Amino acid sequence: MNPANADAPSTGRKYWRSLSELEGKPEFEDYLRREFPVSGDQFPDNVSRRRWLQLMGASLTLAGAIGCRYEKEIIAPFAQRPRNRVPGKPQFFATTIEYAGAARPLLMTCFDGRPVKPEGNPEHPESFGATDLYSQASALELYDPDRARTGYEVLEGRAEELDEEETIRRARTFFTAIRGGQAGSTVVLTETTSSPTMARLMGQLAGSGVEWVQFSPVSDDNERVGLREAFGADLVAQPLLNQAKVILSLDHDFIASYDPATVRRQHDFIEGRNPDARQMNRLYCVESKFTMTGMKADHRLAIRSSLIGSFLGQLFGEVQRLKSGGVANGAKAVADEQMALETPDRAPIFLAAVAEDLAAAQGQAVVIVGQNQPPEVHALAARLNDLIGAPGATLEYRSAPNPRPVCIEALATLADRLNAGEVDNLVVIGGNPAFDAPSDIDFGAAMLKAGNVVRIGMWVDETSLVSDLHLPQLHAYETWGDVVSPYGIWSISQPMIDPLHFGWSAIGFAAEALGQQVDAQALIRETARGALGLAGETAWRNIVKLGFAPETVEEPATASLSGEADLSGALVPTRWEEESKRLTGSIELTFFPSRTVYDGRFANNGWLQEFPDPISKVTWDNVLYVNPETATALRLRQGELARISVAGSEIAAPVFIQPGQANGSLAIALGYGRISAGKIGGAVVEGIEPVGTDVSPVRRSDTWWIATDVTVASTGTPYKIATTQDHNAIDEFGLKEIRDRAPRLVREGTYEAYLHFLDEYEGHPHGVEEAKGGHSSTAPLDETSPAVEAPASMKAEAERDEHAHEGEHLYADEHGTGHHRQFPPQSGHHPKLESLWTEWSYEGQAWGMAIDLNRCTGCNACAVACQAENNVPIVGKDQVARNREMHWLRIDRYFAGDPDNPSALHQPMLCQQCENAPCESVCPVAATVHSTEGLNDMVYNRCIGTRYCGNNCPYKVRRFNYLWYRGNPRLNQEDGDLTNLVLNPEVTVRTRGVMEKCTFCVQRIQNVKIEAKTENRPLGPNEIQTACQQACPTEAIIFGDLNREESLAAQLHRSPRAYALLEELNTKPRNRYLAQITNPHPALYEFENRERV
Amino acid sequence: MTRRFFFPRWTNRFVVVLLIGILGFGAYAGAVTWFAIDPQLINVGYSPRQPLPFSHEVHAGKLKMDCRYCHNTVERAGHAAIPPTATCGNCHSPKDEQGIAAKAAVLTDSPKLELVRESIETGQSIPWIKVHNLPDFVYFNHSAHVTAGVSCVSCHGRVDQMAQVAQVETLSMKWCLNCHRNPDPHLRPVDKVTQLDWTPADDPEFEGMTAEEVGALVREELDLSPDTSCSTCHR
Repeated sequence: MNPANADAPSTGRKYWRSLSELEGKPEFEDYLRREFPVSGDQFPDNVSRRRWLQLMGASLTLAGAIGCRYEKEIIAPFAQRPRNRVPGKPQFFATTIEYAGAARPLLMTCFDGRPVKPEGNPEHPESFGATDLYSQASALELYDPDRARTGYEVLEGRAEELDEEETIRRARTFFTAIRGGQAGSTVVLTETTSSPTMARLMGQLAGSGVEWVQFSPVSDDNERVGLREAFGADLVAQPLLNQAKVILSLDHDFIASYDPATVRRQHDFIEGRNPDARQMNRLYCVESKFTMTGMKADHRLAIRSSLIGSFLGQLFGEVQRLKSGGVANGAKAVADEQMALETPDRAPIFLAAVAEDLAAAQGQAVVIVGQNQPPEVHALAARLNDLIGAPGATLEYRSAPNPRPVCIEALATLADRLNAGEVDNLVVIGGNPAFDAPSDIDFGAAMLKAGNVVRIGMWVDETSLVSDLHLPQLHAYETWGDVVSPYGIWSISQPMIDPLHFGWSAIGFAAEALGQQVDAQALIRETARGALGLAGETAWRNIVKLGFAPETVEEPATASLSGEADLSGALVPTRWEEESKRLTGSIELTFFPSRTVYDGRFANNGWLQEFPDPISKVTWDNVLYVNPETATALRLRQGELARISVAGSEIAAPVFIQPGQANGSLAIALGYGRISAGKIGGAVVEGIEPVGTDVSPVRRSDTWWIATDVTVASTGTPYKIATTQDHNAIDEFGLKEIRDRAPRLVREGTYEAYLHFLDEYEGHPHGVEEAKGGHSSTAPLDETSPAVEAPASMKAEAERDEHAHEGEHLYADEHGTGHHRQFPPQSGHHPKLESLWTEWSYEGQAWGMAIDLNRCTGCNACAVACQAENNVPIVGKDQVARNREMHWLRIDRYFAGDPDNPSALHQPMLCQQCENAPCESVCPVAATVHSTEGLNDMVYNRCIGTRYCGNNCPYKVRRFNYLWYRGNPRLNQEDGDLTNLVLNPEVTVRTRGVMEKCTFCVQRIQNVKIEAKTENRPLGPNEIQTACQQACPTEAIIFGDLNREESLAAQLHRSPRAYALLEELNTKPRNRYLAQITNPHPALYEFENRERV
Repeated sequence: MTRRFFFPRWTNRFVVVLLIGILGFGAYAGAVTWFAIDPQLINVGYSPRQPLPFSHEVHAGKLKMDCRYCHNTVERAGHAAIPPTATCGNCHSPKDEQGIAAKAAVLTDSPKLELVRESIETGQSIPWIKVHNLPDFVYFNHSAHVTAGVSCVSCHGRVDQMAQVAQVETLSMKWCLNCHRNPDPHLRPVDKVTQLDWTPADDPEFEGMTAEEVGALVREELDLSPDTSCSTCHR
């Protein structure tokens, strides 16, 4: 890279948030001009004016009837208080929840005996105390009022309720019959699971002729088959991303919550990406759709998923050539060659750069492949990994837990047998095969052929409706269970609440069918004793306390390759380059688990349904992603329904034009269009429309992940997509201002430039201290780094020095360190900022936050954690479309660069707790005021709903309760008592007409302060964690007292990468963002930025 | 001609009546509203009849039991929890068939204790009626106050003289803030917080000192600075 670039302002890059913004479409301009979108200030359509007046009248009357005193409240103390229970104090239990065969280690916060807020298990090496999106939303699932509360008899697709006694009687009769074998042949169909207890019990049941089949619509089958091909053994590959200097991801998305070890992988990935510690990995992504990993990539190549094998084939040859000492074209040479051409192509340079980096980083590079890629790609990647010395260094192989046949093959065999009438009894536990089986298998129809189908499930879903008897299933928080985590740790789940409704767990069913006593705890202990050799009360107590058995960590498997690489078929090296340029011809459609509702299991979870997709920001829908060029060629238009047909089957889905999607590739998420999910996700019987489009008709065995030869045509029918993409336009000056400002809102720079900057910085004694701003606790500075503590005298000198160099410094740092230089350097001068008011000084604590954009992966765990912690309601698709979503913490997503090959940045956006808060000065009733610790307090009871504050907030982080969202019968349901159980008792539930916003989790601040005070000890410097901070897998969010030297937040505020948002408005925000650092390949970087050079 | 558009003269007296009526009703409505929201009137003196006649006067007053024998979470948690029935059972444990009580058998046969025995046997809660009831948006924490030397008596009055607990303070926001702004008169040594009749005058350690002076000492020793920010109590 040109060293002169080091100081070049990063403002040369173009930042944009959506295509309509970029193109300045009239819709967007209109959007920006209005304070609220269309009809944003109107009452929803389903309530007429007359009805509204009636309601208002009724509530007035009732207000009078309540009388003059508070309601009489009853206190019902325990007759016998459980040990260690202090009423009103939370208790914590280590547990694990298994979603689709993947362990999510948790530490559950329980209030008065009810699980409320999941956190990561800090002791578990696959959590580090952090969590993912799905785990955070799991508590809502537990209290879902639509869960089956009793048994159902299903007749002709209609479920008739049975009472508890009758349910148990029928279940017992059935279990006895299958045990004795009088009932004929029995097959048990479950989701894929890694539970050793389940495997052991099913093994015993096999003795009485009961067969076990596992099926999940999303699984690691392709990887297992591919690795069996390469190694001849049942293995799974687990990357150790913290060890890697170069990572190549092929359609792999380890940042999305559906990755089985997402928390550990994100944590590892960011550990190897710390510019302050002078270590920085490089991530290359080759993918068809924009994945979250792709957003974090240093370089990304968008090609069709079906061509990735061919890309890998060529790459393999290239690396092989480099390794064998052959002369290969370096990336620089390829780039020069291309630049000389009239239409230079980036793809060959990309490939050369990847090959160069992989070959150079022997034992420090890894190739990871997504589960949607066919087995041969996994097999070839294993060979490539072997070639670059990955196994044992950056990658470990582990024997696959509970070996099983390939899911869809097993299901097909089962369907054949069902159709042939060979199965007398079918038991379907969990999953939802009637909804998500390949459409050519038509499993729902096959189920009807079985003699007797018993369904054990949490909801009366699509599969229940083609069964004979539905039995309620227990939630993982209500029973004992176990699971082996991806990195080989035996983890257990324990009940934290008595079953809300009665039911069976998968293990409970197996035990009862075996005629054993159904004490799930005893069964898990049996596993601990037998297979793992952990006998004794102490060992067991320790397991229950930790949530896992640290002794059980298996050694990685050793694997040796068999045979030679066969670069034929999909792997033919030359194919990808020609075909990726061709637009017409083969259009492909790829499927991916929804980043919010996964395979549809979370369809009835309002938090996840309303959660904006991290990339498109679409809520309550799955959309057909297509890139602008392909859309033009296929005449598809944004927001119109398109008809997609694959091998004779059709679906219709709304088009969403997504820059960064590969040419000729369409993508759509699984998990939508449920017809029997519940009141949130759709229940056709009750007249509630499904949410989104069911893709299963076109998802066949042969098009399981990637369908080629797809035809697609627009129907011209408009469709309303509720996206939060353009919501909260950060300022009112319109497009130009946003474009001018974006580079100052999200700042980034290259690693090379940063190193250059640091070296220069270290020339100044003042700079040395500043440069230490990294996470000293988690990633100590390299020994090579000359960072030493500056003595006091040098500090004073630096202070004087600073004033001498005033001209160089841009913004004042009000926290007593004088001025300091920033990275990336910002162009332009700013007049001295002065306040209209007398400034307050903060003597005691001064709460603040530092958000490291370099660490932020945009995984969104923080945002759901915030929703769970702070009782944030959901509002529904209609209201989201009117800008009324209530999330206190949102992740802003900016695209940058060329619309054909954009990169993307995330920025968590929450209340900045400005010291000169613009919201406070406009509130007529002083409902928002400052605390002595610098928090911008929101007093709900004073708020009269003028919304002036929201209007005056430059960050657009205030949320207004336009309606009484909790009272919405569809979203929060009549059974208020049950959904109320998920509420955090530490946070007030807000009512209609009240403004609300992030409080920096003031309840956590107060509780920790009180705890320290009652124990008569000083508050620790980093003792308080906000909910978003605690959930973050990469420690990107750090909260603390800015007045204390030892506080991490204060240290990060002094980092040269730190900057405040819109500081020219002199709002003095208490948040600092740390600029993102990218580590591009020099030749590729030069090529990508050639217009500027 | 135009005469018929005027009201007859005799209707004039209605104007007076109407005026008096409007003024009178306004005053009445104002008074009702004022009194209906005055914490002094609506809260102080609230003394609901409890499901069983537990007397603090007997237990805390005559028998001099410490408040924390029953309200044992007060120093650790936000709630000074109402004790489980098992605590009552420590003295009033029911007799079994042989007539033997498991623990101390004080007034085992008293009909007033029927609910206690029933609760211990069935495990069902005794439905006590909450007396000191703060709104749900107020987060009061007992431990923070009790460990800072605020006595029970400051908010609950002389419970040890109450046969049936009654509210004696308004528990209004103004009342809370008065103490947060000037805590000294309400602070005492932490080991004296449950001694409801304690005064500095009776304590030889603080001879000749006023309550304020003792409070100031405690405040300095414990480094207390009660906050009056909204988020101190409202979250």
